[in-house]
Amino acid sequence: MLEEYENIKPQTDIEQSDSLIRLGESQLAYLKEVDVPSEIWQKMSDVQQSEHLDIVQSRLEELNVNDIGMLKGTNLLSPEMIEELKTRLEAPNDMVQIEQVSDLLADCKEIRFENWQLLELSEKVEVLNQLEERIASIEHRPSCPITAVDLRPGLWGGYNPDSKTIDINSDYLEKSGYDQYCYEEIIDTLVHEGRHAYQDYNVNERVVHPRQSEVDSWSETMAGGKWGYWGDCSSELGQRLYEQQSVEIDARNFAADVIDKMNSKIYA
Amino acid sequence: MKDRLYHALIERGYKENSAKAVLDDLLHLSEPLEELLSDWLDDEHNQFDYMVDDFSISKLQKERGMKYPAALLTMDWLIKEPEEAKRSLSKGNR
Repeated sequence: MLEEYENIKPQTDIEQSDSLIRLGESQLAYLKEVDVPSEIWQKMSDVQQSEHLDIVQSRLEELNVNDIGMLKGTNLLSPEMIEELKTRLEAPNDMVQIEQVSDLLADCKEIRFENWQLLELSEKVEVLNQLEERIASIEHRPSCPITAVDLRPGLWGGYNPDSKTIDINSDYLEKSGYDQYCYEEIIDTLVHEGRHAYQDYNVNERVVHPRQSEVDSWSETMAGGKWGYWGDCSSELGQRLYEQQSVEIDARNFAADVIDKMNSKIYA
Repeated sequence: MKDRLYHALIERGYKENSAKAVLDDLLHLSEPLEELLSDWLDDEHNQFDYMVDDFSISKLQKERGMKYPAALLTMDWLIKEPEEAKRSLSKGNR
């Protein structure tokens, strides 16, 4: 029985991704047919773009193309379309996201403490915005503008699900220029708030997270969820109930894993 | 007691869901805090202080904007699970 399978070897990752892009000529043409060049794409209205993406998405599903990353550099679809499509297609699982986000942070020279110290406050905000755009792309969600704002002591930042923006405590951001603890917590906050944006996107816009049960669990501690409280509810409910919300546990763990991986890459 | 506490929470600014969420925990506060809750129930202005290590009710109210019942619950957490509570409070919210 075993002999029948002796020629079957496990595929390597490279072979697997290679097989994904081996679409036939006609299949490639079928996809190319719905491409819209960047200059035209940018002139289309949101509604037009959305309707067109419906068509592209259905073709990708027909062709069983699950990994949108494989389309990069193929000239099949414009980069703008690929970015928009990402927010519709399933995101990588958490382990892959953690790996990719930690790679991104480890490779970013601006956020090494020795360089970070030299940046003006506005430059720090700019770097955080650039990183947030890249993190959002990895997580298959739209990016959120980040601003430095006055917040009470003890509150590092917050994600606003109404405006889809991220606030960072300006006092702590200022301190992160000379205080290593604050600096580390700012990086943690960037990843943490991005995860809240990802949770919100999955619960309220479109499910791209691979595990529906986790999305269901997040929805319980969001606006309209079964517990009826969400966000920084510590002022009414105390610290424990805030800390133990499913969205907070998830965001905290996700950020901690990213930071651990990032540090192991930087200091390896 | 449960009904009285629930109505006091509502009258003093809690929404229904929040009041329901904290009700059971408030009814099972550690001994030194029970009395403080009882005083607060009698009169909203009875907000007596209590300290655990570096944390106090008044500090939680002042620095973290906690309402008195929320501060009581946080002190209760500091008594029951000190390590976890201290770690959470030191780490801050985000």
